[in-house]
Amino acid sequence: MAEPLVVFFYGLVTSLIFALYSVGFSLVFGVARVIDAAYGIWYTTAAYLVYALVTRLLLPLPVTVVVVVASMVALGISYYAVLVRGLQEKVEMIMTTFLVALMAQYLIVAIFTNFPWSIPALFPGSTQVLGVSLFNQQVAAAITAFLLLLVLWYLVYRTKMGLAIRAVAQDKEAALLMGINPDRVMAFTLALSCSLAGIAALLQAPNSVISPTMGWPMLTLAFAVVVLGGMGDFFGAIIASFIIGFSYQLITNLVNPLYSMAAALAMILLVLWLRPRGLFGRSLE
Amino acid sequence: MSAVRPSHLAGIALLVVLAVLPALPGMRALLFPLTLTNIMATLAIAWNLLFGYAGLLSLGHSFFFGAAGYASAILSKSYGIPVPVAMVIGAAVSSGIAALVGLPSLKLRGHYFVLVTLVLPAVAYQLTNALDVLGGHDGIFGVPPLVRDSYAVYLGSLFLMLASLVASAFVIRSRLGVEMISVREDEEAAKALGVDTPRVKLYALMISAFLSGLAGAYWAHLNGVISPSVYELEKASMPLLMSVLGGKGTLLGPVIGAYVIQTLFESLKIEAIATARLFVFAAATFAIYRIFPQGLMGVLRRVIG
Repeated sequence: MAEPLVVFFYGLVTSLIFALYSVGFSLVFGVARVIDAAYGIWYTTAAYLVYALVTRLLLPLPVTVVVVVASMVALGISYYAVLVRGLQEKVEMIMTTFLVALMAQYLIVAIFTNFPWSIPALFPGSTQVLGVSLFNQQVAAAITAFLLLLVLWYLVYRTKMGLAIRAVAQDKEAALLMGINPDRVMAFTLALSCSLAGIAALLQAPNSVISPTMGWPMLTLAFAVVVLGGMGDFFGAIIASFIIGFSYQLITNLVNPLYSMAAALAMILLVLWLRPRGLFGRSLE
Repeated sequence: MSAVRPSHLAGIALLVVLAVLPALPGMRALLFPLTLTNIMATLAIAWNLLFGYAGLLSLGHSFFFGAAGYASAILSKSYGIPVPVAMVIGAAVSSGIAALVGLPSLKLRGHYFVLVTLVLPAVAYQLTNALDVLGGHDGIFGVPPLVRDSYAVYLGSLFLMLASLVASAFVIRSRLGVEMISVREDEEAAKALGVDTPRVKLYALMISAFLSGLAGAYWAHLNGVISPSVYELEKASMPLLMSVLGGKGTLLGPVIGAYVIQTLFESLKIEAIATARLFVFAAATFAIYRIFPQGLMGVLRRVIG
């Protein structure tokens, strides 16, 4: 039986990382009206990128961070320009992005094989907090995720680009008439979401093993967050991330890690059934 | 329908060739791969009935395949129920779970359902791993076979595929089939014309899950073992790749796709290509989906017509 404080701390770390990751999925849904079935694979891709940079090329930490974020931004923009931009119909969209995810995953298998490689901690060692020993990697992840969520809030609610993002999310045509270029806003949103997936991998993957399928559970959780919090709702997504993050850690520590996904699915179905617009009812659909 | 068309004769001839070919001397090595192909084709037919006709995309048909396989394996092994009966009950279990999962998500717009199907096999994978009743990580061994003779098993798989094809054709030509296509084309318009869209989608899902379940149960009894790996993404993506490659929304497309992919799969067992072949299939399907949305059937039609 784990100590309550440890469960609380890991719940906090998990929730913050889920929030960072899921806000990206939620924004892409709300703004670009895209359900990105490949959103899990961006997480996997970034994790393998971190692995290649850290353990194969032995790059120092700051360079790794810059390269990963820059690559994910470039990936997001080209993903939008080449593929997502031309997709109109929802089912076609999911099918296409799912096939992209399959290709990317099998490409990763072909390059790195299915072997569970491990990434060393980017912040090695551990710290004593309130008498509990915590890995520095997790402490760093929690602080970084918290700061980035603040930056994200500022970006969405206090900048001109954020205003444009919310305008496009509300009404694309009206935004166009107000002189906003929806194409640019959507490309920006996809770049943002891909880099958020990359940063989540950067925070979560070190100090553990990586596998080509590691992104699918993350996509499931992002989906659960978005169903619970409402599609495209920034604060809803963050509150939902905390509900899911803490339930996930409680089930993992007190019951059995193998039941965590079943709990997430049960939650998704229950909310879809009883409150299809999300717990806070502010969803776009 | 009354006149015998040349295409019907060609189909019957092809069936006879398929039935006899593995029985010829020196061809016995084909028995197992072809049995597998027929099972995968049945799964692809079931998937295509849902996506190609009702427009409901499922990314987790491995769940309906695997759940029925598990149910049938347990019923026949632990409870001594005759294999054919166990297979039908197993498929009914899949169909029942499909209804439970479908009810909350099918009332909403299509994409919620898609995301739910994506989660299903992942959950099943974890649960079967966790529960000792379901055999845990190792799965269930010693599942009794349908019949001992492997040629009879092969003929059975051919019959299963044919029966699913006929059942699909029957559904498509019924009132339900017309309603399914109306939902696919324009759900709002179908609703406005008085089609009970959640009910139509639910029936389509249950029929598709039942057929997938039959395929999965057949597969479990063929192998004699079923383990959580049945829920891996590879199985879930196969019916999709096969149907899109062969031609979604056509009766024979999934069968053609299944035969093409399984043949390539078996012949590309060379070490160097083996790791990349799944990538090649995914890339080929992606290209075909984007460039020829009608798949190989569409290409065939253009060449013949």
